[in-house]
Amino acid sequence: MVLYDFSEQITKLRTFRFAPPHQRIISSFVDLLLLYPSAFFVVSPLIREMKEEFYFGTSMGFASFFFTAFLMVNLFVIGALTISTMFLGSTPGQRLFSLRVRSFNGERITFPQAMQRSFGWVLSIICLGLPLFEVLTHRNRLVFYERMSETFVETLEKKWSVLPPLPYEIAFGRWVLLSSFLLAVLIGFATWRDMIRFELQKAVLMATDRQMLCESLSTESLDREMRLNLALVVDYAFPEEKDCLNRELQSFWFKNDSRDSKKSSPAEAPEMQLSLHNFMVFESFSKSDYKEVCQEESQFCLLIEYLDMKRRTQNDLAKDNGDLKAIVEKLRLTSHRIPLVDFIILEEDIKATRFLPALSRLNELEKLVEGQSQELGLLLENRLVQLAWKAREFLEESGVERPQRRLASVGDGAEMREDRGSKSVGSESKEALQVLEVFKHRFGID
Amino acid sequence: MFVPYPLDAQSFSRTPVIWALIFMNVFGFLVLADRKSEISGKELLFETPVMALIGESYFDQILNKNNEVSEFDSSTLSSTQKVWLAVQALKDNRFLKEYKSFAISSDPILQKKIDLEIENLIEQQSKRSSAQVGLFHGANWKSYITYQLTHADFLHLLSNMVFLFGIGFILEIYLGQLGFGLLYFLCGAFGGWLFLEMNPHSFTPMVGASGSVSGLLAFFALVEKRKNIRYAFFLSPLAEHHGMIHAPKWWILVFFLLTDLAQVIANPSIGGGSGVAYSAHLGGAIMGVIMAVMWNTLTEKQSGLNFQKQ
Repeated sequence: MVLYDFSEQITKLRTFRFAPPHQRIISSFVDLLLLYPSAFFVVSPLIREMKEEFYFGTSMGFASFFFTAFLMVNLFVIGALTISTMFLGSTPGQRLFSLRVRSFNGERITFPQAMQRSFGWVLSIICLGLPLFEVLTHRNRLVFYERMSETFVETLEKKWSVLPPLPYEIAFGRWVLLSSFLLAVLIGFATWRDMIRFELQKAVLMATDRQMLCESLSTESLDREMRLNLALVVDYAFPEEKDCLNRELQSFWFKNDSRDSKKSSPAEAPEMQLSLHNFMVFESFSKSDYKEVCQEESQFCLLIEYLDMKRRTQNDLAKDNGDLKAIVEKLRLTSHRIPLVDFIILEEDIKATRFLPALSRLNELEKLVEGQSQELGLLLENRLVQLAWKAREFLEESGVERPQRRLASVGDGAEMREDRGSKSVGSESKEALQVLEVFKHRFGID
Repeated sequence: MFVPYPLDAQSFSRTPVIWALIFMNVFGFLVLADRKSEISGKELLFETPVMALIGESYFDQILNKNNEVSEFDSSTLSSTQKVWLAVQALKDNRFLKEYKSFAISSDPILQKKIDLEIENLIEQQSKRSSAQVGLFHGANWKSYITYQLTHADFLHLLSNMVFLFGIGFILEIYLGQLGFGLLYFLCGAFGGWLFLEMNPHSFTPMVGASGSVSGLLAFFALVEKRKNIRYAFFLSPLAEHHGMIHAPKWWILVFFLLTDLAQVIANPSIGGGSGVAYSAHLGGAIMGVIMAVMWNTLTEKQSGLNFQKQ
């Protein structure tokens, strides 16, 4: 690497004894061992304070912590090197080998030159010391910061006579650069290996298993109901992937076979998913999610918003607007694509027939993947715990006082009525009990 | 590589202790070493939100109650900080003893799950060989010796053995076999003691001969009043890229011991470390310094007596 050619000036300086390259590299190594621990020691109290702020406070992020500590240590090193080079004529490592830094004009180096050299040296160290190997490959044995600062290192010992780089030295320098690059890649890979492996494994497993599960839903032997149930299960396990549930939902809602793309309507599918999640995964839904997905006031989004409200708020709203019927009518009028009654049925349907079967199916799914994949099994296990809690909540609600919204009439306008206190320990509760039993057995909960 | 190497390797008959120590360390590593010596964040089976719950609970129930983080507020903690705190919590004896009494989650099933996972982690840790031979709170006195002969991984073993090889021969000849053996184990034991004192709630067992080696280095840096010693360096197999150079002996203190002191200062009392027991290094070095001062005093008196006799 030649930034610009100093060979003429160097030729004039042939009377000086250039420092042997190996001594220069070793002296750099000695400087590294001496200066960086010293710098770290000097700034360590400050680093401690910054670390505390980083770990517990609010003003210090990882980037600012790392950059500040890095800057402090390196500034100390630059300062120490500059002072040493300027006033003593060499660094501690160079003194060990009787080396001396000089300007191209043969005089002592100036402060700007010393600064440039020190900065360049620190930069080389940050780059794993690889630029220092230019003393092996450069034709004048000058590292980039020496060419930049127009300085060189001479030896005071007369026995050394430095020749231009021999072919084997150049080959070695290149070999070092190449192998260092490969090593850096290997170290980088090893450092992130676990994370990469975990992420890749998870992604591959999810993709393959999900695909497998999703494909399995498409078999002709399963009816529409079962396919939706299974799609819900897959959606529980892999909430980040919506294709499977999306397809089945479209099929379910539009009475189309999702595999026939001409008949299916994808327009409302994301909102339908959101509505299902709203009903089933209560904790994961938030107003911000709603706003993100429901940019327009579509029928689904309004319904979700309405159903998501607390009962008291609903009553207040009804009071403000006259009655619930008006609200529902308003919701209905916002879109003409899908009858409102279907939404109400969906809600009941999901809560009563799909939610809990899906939970029990999840458990079956877990058994299926058990032993095949630790990560997938773990993911499902965690999900099972959360859903088991939901199942128990459902049981408690249905066993005591669970207000039931039922559709009274679906003719001219939808009317909703609440029956309080009605017990609904039906098939869904049995399913929930099954889930809890499985969970209790697994974790030994009384 | 840059290692003090003041004296060439000696035969087994002349320096049996150093060879025996190297053999025991290698043997101990091959037989007893854990592939995973401590609980790390990567091994935790919890998802991030659960880790955040654990971290928050640790902050409120342990750190705040003990006034260790009185100037900070848990409500301002980010999820990353909470996860980091959770990793610390799972290395803290106080938390691991009392976690069942904390309401980590309001969800009883999730709470149960967390309890079970922590139990599982503790059980896994107890099954590791580092729990048998490593040094931790409540370990018996033998652990002060056995921990010095076990290493966590190959690089750990290699770095310690290189320094032991470099500095050991001259010290064994200088101190004699008994003196060298005593110095090695005393420095290691003191390093272990300081580690336990500076990490009073550590759950993770400590292994490695680093404390002993630091003690040997510190001792050597302060006894034998020679100005320069020989260091071995290796850059490449090319001629002049490896060999020996002579450099000031006190550089040992900067090269190998100042970093340990800086690390002890720089790391907050709650975690912040990289898994390396710098306090043990420092303890070993302190014992090395004490022994060196005693040795110097003793030998000066002896030489004084000799001088009087003459």
